[in-house]
Amino acid sequence: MIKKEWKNFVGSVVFLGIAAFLFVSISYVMRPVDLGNRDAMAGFYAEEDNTLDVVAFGSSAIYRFLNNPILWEEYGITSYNLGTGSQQPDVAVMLANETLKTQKPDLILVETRSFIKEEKEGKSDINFRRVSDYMNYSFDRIKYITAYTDDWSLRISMIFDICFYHELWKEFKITDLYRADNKKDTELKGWECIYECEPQEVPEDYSGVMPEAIDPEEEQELYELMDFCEAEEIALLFVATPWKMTENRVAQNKYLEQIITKRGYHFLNCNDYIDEIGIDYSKDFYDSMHTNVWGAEKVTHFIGKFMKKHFDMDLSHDEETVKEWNRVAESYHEKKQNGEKE
Amino acid sequence: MSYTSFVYFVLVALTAFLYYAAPIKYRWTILLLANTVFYLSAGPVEFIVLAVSVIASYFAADFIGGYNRKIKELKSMEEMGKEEKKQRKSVYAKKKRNLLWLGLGVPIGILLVVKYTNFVLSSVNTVLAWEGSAKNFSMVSLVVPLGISFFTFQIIAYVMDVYKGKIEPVQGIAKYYLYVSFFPSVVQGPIPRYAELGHQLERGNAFRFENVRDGCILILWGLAKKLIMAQRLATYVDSVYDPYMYYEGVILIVATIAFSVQIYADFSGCMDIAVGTAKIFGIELSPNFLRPYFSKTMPEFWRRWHATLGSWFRDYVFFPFSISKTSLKINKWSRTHLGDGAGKIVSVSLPILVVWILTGIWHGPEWKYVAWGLFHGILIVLSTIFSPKMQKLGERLHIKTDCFSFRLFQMLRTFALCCVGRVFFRAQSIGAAFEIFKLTFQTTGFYWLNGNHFFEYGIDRQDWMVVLVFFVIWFTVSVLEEKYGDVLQLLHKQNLVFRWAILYVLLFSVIIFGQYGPGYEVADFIYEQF
Repeated sequence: MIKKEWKNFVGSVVFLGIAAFLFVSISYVMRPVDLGNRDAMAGFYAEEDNTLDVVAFGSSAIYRFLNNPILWEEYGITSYNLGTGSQQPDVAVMLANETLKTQKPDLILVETRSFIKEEKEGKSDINFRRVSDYMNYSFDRIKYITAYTDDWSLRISMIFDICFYHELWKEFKITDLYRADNKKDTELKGWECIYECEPQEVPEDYSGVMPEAIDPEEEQELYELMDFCEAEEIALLFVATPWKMTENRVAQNKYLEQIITKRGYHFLNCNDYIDEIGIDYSKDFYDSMHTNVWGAEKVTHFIGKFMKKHFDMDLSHDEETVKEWNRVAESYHEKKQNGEKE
Repeated sequence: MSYTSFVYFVLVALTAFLYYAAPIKYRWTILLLANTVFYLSAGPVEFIVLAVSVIASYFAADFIGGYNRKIKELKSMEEMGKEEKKQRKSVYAKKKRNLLWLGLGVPIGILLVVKYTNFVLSSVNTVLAWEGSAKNFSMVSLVVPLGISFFTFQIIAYVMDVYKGKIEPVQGIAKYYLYVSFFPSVVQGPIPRYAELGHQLERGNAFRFENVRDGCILILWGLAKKLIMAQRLATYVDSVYDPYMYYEGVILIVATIAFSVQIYADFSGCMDIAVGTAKIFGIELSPNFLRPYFSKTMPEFWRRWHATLGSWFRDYVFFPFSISKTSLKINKWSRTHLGDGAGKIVSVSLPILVVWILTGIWHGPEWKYVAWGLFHGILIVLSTIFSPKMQKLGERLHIKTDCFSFRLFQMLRTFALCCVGRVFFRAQSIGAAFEIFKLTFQTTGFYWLNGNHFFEYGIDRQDWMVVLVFFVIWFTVSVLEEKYGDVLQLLHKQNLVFRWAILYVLLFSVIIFGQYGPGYEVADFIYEQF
């Protein structure tokens, strides 16, 4: 009798274990393709453990301004852009925590555009989902989702994201199966090459404007990120990439700079160094908010130099890592050449 | 709390854990608690209505049981004279009858008031309007408690069974409440009798792996029927039936057939969830569906479809009415005045029609349900009267009836008749139902079926493919059930890899192809509204 009970128990555990494995794999496969930078997380998970020196967070700005192949080629820094469309401050700690599960970066770079808003915006589920829906299943993920919302039906649809996306079976292709482990090698480590050029007006000078407080909830989220990184002993660098800001945003940017520097962190406001960076507004942007490939190279050089100068990073890498990153650089140049020809 | 909601499954899992963790003696209290949580989730007013029905019927039945005992005791009282015994028995019987009126009157009264007040008022308004009266009664807003039609029938069955001395009254109102409000079946049935369910609930069942496993599989199967099949077909049926005036011919026939499949998937899916949930606790509920679309006659169909409702009407309406003084008087009158043949028809038809009109009204306070019930009543009367004659005719014409083709013909005929009834059931009103019949037969309307139109009714080509594949699987399972009985036992006899593969396919089919979650409003189960 006892033998039979044990058999049933073990059988049930194995059955449920396989079911859980299949559930997770099918969830990963069912995740949508077009929800922001969908491969950012999968690409990050595909990185070899403990090979990244810098991990960058932020909205679309981060993967349009920070050119990872150039950072490697010129400064020997291995980096990954863990940016997602309209990424908000509320995911920063969750991303930092996720980063530390597989990587031990010397530095986390945060693009600060999402902290400054023209108007107060409420929580955006879709922006949160752009990160959480692509993360690996874990208890931490459940913890952060539970903290994000009190709405149980939203929590369930975020935790078990297949509830939200299962209808995408209609778009399923056999090649989607490669996503079953939520890993996908990225060619350029989260960097997106864009070759179009749209001349922009030179921004007005609002340097005389007084600082204006940012959203208190987001300020709190900023402090939580700082606390987390302090506890984990990881350096933080906040970067405001160049773009044409309104007066209101410039004022909030100043406030942001104040509170960040007050805590002893670097705040690199690229908008104050346009000439030094060499930005040409008639050539270096592809839309009003993002640089093209040429503009991004200039910004990356500037940030790379700054990192080298102000942060003590261990940039020694093993042979495999060097080989991989040389391949990335080559791939980038090839792409760039092809893009230029077009 | 819907049977397809996440919260429901959390409740089931939590209850199961606590049930088996508790000492056997106290396990019924865990179910009692779960019933209360489940029913309170519908709202406090609903709970109060349930409580009033439970209290009134419990005490009435308890006193009836007391008089039953006294009547029994009379027999052993040798010192008492025959006349005195008779007199006392008559007094007790009268008291029993009064208590029966109380025990039945309160729950039935509540049912009638909350469910049928507006039906009566709107019918009166219609009559007044016909007569040109300007008077108009305004409708009243009443809370219709969850599953009131179902638990009221359970209460009636219990009180009647106690009255007839078939069962002893329950000892303790909590245990009676446990029976009436058993959460897997309180909303949509099956309608269990106390004799079959009561002791299962009270005794506290030991943990058996097989029960939990089979319960979970049944729940999964029920979810597949509801979320994969019924939800999709509902989208299609609604998009044709709601604006029915724009359609004609074959598309209405297809929608009616689809509705017949939808309602079966919906209701039997819910029953699988209910039976599966009960099974997890080691409790067997009566099956409510016995593959009804394989029926060869209408009476057979109604023995297979919603079987517990059918048997309830048979035991508590058909038989009592058939032997009632009123019925006997009508039979006598009709035989005397209409002759033996017609009198016999009246005596056969009357109880059947009474049962079916009541069945119709039970489904909802609308004339379309009355029409639906009457339609089925007439079909069953005709079937009862003409079956022997048709059999004789067949024999004379040498029609081979003991073969597959004839059985198939009978099944298709029964299904077709059933579909006609479904038009009344699904249409928005009785007028709309007749309009749909007219539109169906005034033109063929084949152009509605071409690819460009057919996939524009809310479900696309891929959804239809899912419906088709699931239908084939379901049909296969039904054939196996007809042939071998319990398909679950058949599955357990297979080797492990095949067994697990089947279960994984079922599980992930529900997860992937089920229509639930954001973007979908999982429609209430159809019978939940009754």
